Amino acid sequence: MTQYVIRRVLAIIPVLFGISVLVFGLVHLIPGDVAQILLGTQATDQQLATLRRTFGLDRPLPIQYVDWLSHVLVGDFGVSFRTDRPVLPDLVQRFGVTLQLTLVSMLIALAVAIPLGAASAANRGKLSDGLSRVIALLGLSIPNFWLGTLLILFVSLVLHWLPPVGFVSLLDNPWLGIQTLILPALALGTAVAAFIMRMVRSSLLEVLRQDYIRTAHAKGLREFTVLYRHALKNAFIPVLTVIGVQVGYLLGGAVIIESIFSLPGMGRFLLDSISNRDYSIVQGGVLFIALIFCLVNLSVDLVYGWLDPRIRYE
Amino acid sequence: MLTILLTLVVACARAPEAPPATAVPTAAPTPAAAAKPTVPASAATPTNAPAAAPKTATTTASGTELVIGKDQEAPGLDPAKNPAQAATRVFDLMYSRLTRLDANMRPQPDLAQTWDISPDGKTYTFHLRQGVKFHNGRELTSADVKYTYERIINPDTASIAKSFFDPIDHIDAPDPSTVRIVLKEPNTPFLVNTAATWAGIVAREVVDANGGDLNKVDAGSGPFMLQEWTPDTRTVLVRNPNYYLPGQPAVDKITFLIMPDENARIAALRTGNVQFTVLSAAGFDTLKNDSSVKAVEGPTLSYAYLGMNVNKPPFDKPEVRQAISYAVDRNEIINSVFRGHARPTGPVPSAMADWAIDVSQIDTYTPNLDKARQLMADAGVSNVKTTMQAMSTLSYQVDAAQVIRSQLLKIGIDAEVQPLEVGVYVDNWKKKNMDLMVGGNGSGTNPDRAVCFFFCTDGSANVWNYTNPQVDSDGAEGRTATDQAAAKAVYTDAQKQIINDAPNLFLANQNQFLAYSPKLQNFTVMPDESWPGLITASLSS
Repeated sequence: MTQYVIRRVLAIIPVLFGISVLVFGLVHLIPGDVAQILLGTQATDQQLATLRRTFGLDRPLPIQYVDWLSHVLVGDFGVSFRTDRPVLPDLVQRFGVTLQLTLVSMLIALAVAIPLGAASAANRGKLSDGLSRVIALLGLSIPNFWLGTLLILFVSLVLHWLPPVGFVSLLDNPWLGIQTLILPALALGTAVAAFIMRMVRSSLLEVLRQDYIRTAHAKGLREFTVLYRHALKNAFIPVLTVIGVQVGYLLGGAVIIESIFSLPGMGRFLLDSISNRDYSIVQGGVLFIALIFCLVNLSVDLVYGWLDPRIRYE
Repeated sequence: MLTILLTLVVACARAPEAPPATAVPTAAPTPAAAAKPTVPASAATPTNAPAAAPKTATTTASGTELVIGKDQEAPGLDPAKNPAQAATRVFDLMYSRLTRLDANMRPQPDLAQTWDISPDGKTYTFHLRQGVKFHNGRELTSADVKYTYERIINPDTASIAKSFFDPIDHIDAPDPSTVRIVLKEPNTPFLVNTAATWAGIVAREVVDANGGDLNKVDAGSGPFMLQEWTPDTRTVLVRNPNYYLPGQPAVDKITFLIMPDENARIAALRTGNVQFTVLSAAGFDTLKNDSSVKAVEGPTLSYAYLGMNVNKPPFDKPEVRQAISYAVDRNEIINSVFRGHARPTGPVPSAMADWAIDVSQIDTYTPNLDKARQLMADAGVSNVKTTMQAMSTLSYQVDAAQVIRSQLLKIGIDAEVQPLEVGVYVDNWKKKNMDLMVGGNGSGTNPDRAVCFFFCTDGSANVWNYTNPQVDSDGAEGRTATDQAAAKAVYTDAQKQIINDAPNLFLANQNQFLAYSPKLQNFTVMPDESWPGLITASLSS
């Protein structure tokens, strides 16, 4: 098993390498002169040339790439063209915000999706099943930015229950932090919950048809025990795949939600950097997200083994 | 994996840490390398308290706090280097200048209490206020003024204000409270330019301690001091207790929160989480009937335009450009794109009261399709297929382009609207290879910029390949005129020439919109969209 993990971790390296080439190439291919955007339309040609020289933008692309990569390998992601701040600490910090948002969103999503999906599967064909499926459909269809704005309107403006915008870290002040995260997490988590709920339902329906479930019923076990102790665990693998994909996606940053709720997360950070042609941040950021995504995938694969003892790793 | 996640959470998920605010300690200023944010001795509340979200009372333990919802983050706070409004709005409050503009865009005393101008218009002698202190405690003298201007002119600083002060020949500081600036030749905009936020007087030792870059620190002597700057989250300014104008500033602390989404800003204003914010026309229309907030509208010095590449057929023919001017209905654009919150304009908006001409009676501004078609026929031009570029992120530009397209179709010009991303747009703008381009200009605070920067042959923003020797000579005369009346005459002529030649159509001079809590008093709106009103504004409780 250890060997498997090591091999998987090593396999991440060529992936990241390929991504680094891709993102470097793509970012430099976008039309638009970095120096011009940074200095504005009134910059003189001399000022533009000075800026390009400062950031090494006048060198041939392969040399710039090698230079950047060699720094990244020792942990130096460079500095932002715009603000002169080192890229990696800011990336990590912004990622922390996105991580908190993702965690709370997933918690809400799972707390809703698993019971709803399980109840739906267990009561297949009945009214509660139909209702759950309609709710899931709504959750999938409602655009999250619209939901976010609506939540601000009702929960903050009308009911005054929660603050509309802003971010407070859970580590600095858990009570305040959760207040600032609930609304965006709800806006984001709804679609995720719907996805997961449908997966739980369909996967459970498969499992519930199995013979050993009939045996469990025959033994006289309660419905709850059958469902949650026996069926769900076995139904969980496809659900886990969906969860993994959703987590990976959320960790990339939810730009619109972050803008609406003024959360200083990864999504906004990267979007602004692309507009500003802030190459260092875009390159570093995409690489960072790729790494996270690979790690999430690896974790999901490892959890498979825990869930289903039949799965072996070679 | 969980361990990795947990480690990441612990290591990185703090609320963003504030970089140290170096200029504020009362001892000699410390370099920016201090590891922990220092709590300034004279400031109000501790820095790391994440006070962003909850409904805060506007009175903290030591005074009033004004929370502002800002739409964009400043890239940096160095007054010499940052053109963006998002930045100038902040360091406008941190730095004093020789003069400041009033609401009529006229220079008034700031650091300079009085000044004399020599009869030949070349020597300006400023008499400085006594006893002004920088935020680090040191007294401000004429040597600092000299240093600041020389820093701006120095090409190594790459200051965006360099061209304003290139006319300076040399600066003398004969005594600590007198500065004499001698120009190479008379320069009409010079006095107004001394009021620019970019001419904020800086403390040399802070510049040196930070490698020549003031982007993250405070080297000012203005009404507010920088306490904390957390990019993309929060900027906190506190009152300067040594500020030289009595009773100012009226609030003890200003906190800028970055909120890109307008609906969120409106919500935050209504719940009281912020007390001041900037709006679009749509936001203003939403709030103007809401009695819980005060929504105000004011003129600006910016306008939307339709630019035409004077080198590209058929726009090289003046008749075609005039035809376009007759075909474009500016009022339709004002009503549909700007919802009536704009007015017709020339290259000098009416808020620059001393210099703008009256455009209400101009013939080519009155839509006249017959004349337009006649002009097109005279020019022998028909069935034109061309492109019209606009910046995709600015909805007024794309909307105006759509309206113009429909208006131009009536005279046989099919202009395909091309919304472009900002980098691509700027690229095309710079390369001067567009056909038609919708854009926006900030005409600035003086007629030299409004006229010559954009329309003189060697104007840096003249990307239309437009050249008119009369405009050039008007510009040169106006810039060096020593007499206001003479300057006004030539600038009036230049404006008429430009409107007649029509390298640009001036579509509309739009308004700015602000909204704030009714508890905010004494705030005046400035046409240049800066917020110095925050210095005199007070918050009642």
